[in-house]
Amino acid sequence: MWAWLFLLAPALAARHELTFEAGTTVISDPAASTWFGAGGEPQLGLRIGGAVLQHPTGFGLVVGGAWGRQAQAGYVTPSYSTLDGEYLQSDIRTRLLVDRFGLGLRADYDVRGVFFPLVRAEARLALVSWRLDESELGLRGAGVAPGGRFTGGFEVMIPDRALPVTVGFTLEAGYEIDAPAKLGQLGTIDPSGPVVTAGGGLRL
Amino acid sequence: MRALPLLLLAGCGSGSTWLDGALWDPSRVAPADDGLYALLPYAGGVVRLRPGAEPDVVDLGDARATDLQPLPDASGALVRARRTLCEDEDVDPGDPVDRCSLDGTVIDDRLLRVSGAAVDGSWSIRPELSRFQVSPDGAFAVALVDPSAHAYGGGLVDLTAMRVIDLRAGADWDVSIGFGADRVEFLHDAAGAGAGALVLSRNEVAQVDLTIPSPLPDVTFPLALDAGASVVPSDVRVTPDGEYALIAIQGSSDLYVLDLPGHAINILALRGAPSAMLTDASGDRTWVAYRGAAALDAIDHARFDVETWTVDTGFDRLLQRDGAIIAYAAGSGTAVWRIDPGAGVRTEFQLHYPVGELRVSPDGGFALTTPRSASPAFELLSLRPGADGRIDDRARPFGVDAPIADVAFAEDAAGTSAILLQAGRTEAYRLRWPELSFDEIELPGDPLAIGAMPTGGFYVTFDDALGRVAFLDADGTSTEVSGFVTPDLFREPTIAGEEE
Repeated sequence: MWAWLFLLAPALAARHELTFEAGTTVISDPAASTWFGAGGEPQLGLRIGGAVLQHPTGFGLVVGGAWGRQAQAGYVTPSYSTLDGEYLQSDIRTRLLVDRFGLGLRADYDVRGVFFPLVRAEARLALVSWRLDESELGLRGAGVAPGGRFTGGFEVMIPDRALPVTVGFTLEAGYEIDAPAKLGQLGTIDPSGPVVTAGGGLRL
Repeated sequence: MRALPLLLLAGCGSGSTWLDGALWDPSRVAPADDGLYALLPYAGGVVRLRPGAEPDVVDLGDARATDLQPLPDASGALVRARRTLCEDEDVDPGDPVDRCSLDGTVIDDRLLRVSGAAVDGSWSIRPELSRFQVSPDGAFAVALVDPSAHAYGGGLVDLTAMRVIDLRAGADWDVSIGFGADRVEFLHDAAGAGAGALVLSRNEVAQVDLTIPSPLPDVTFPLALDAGASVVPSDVRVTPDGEYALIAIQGSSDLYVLDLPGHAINILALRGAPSAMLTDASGDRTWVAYRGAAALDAIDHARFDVETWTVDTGFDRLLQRDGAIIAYAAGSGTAVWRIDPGAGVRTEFQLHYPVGELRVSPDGGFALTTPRSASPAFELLSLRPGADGRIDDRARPFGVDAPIADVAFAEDAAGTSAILLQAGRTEAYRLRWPELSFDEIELPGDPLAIGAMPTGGFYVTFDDALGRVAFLDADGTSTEVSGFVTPDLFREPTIAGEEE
């Protein structure tokens, strides 16, 4: 589905990218940390991009899309006090799955064909799905959260970009800001938070 | 694509959290004519449950429910709720509660009357007034000081305060009563409507007129002349004509007889400290049981003469159904007495197990007892005379698979049904009376408790953190409602706005 991105790119002037990413988005919404663990769980995903500009001065522009999945899971034990003492309700197994889709631009600068400082801006859409399980009963639902992500970092290409195919490694950090996902009568969960990602992949 | 499952596994973290509160509290449900109301303590919500319908969320505005109790007339439920306001300049309504400083936090406790899944009455209540009693006709509620309650804002707590709430007219007012009042006995007029209350406190009984807002009680009856004495009322019964109140005193054989219209106090010496009292309207007498004396005293309300009925053992429970008085000792004895005060006939049942709990069917036709020990058994007592005019005084024991956890009765045109829950078992027993049929019904889970719905049938609560209730018809048909804890589950408590 991303093939059209490759068609947009000039043939040799820039690098298309196919990157596996690992990192995290530290969801800071208290509801998420209460129900689905402490937050900061690993996020894994794929990024694909097509170079649309490689200026002779070294500036490059890549249009791309990304998908990443972050899963948080845990156990919640409700409790309450009675005259007889503390009463524990049975554990609830919980799971929060956030699939994040992005579409945006990467701007970089070529330093000797090996090192590329970069900034990235993306429109994002987070699909937040939750699940609470206890005994054979289960509750589940989902919501969407549109937003944006802004990161900065660098890429290292080994060997350098002079070869037709190289391997690139990226390290980026920034922030994702999303509207809270509305989860019906449960309330909302805001998947926003600081982002750190590292990636590796092919540069064509 | 084969890497995808690994990718998903690697992206999964886990954690464990203890929630400070139950998602729902199976012991805090309120059966009403229009459904079963359930408290959601963690989310601070209330839902109405009905068989075959989606749960209705009661809109409490920006208040969070903290307690719930049924209304005696089954017209709805009373909900205690809390609004948290903030006087800090940099905190706005809708902000999280924990953003407000302790000094800036203002608590607005409310008593809400809920009916038809909506709030139809709201009264402001000081936080320390957290013990409620509602008149049997559901017309009045009184709030008493809970000495253990936390006083917010560092203000003084008036330990002699009581708040009266007219649940129908909407008015509410404070009444200054005795120190540390802990029990209210409602008085009714000739038509049975709530009219007044006796408020029992240490060394004092206050008579309050509930129909006229007044900051002071009508009459105060001192129970001790010496201010240093400590006379603590333990029980009260009012004669059917409303003329006298009989007050038992903790650890004392003195029975105070208050002449309510005459404002006079008499003392009747009993054989010991009463362990139970019961007023028999048909015989116009009050029955008194003693834990340490093998006797029942019947005190007539005209001359306060005492007639003694000798029994074999002391009793600490008295109840009345269908004109007959049932006496037993919970947790110790195996004897249950049925006394027909009109005919002067008494029947003694000897049980096989010491009585733990005894429940009498609403029509007074039979009683079920569960053993004090956790024995998997129950016993059935027939309380009505048979065709020969005699009562069968044999207790019929039944063995079951597990100890009986709870019992409830319901009546329909065909008779009376009782359902007995077994602890930790999905099988329950249904007993039908008068034909005495006994069968097993399968429940959808391990039950916690059972109760009767005012409109007929039963409700059963289950130990399920996400909420689970089953409604049972008298024929055993079960309709389940579950997963009703979701309203506002992920919503943090927020600062309330000023009311317009």
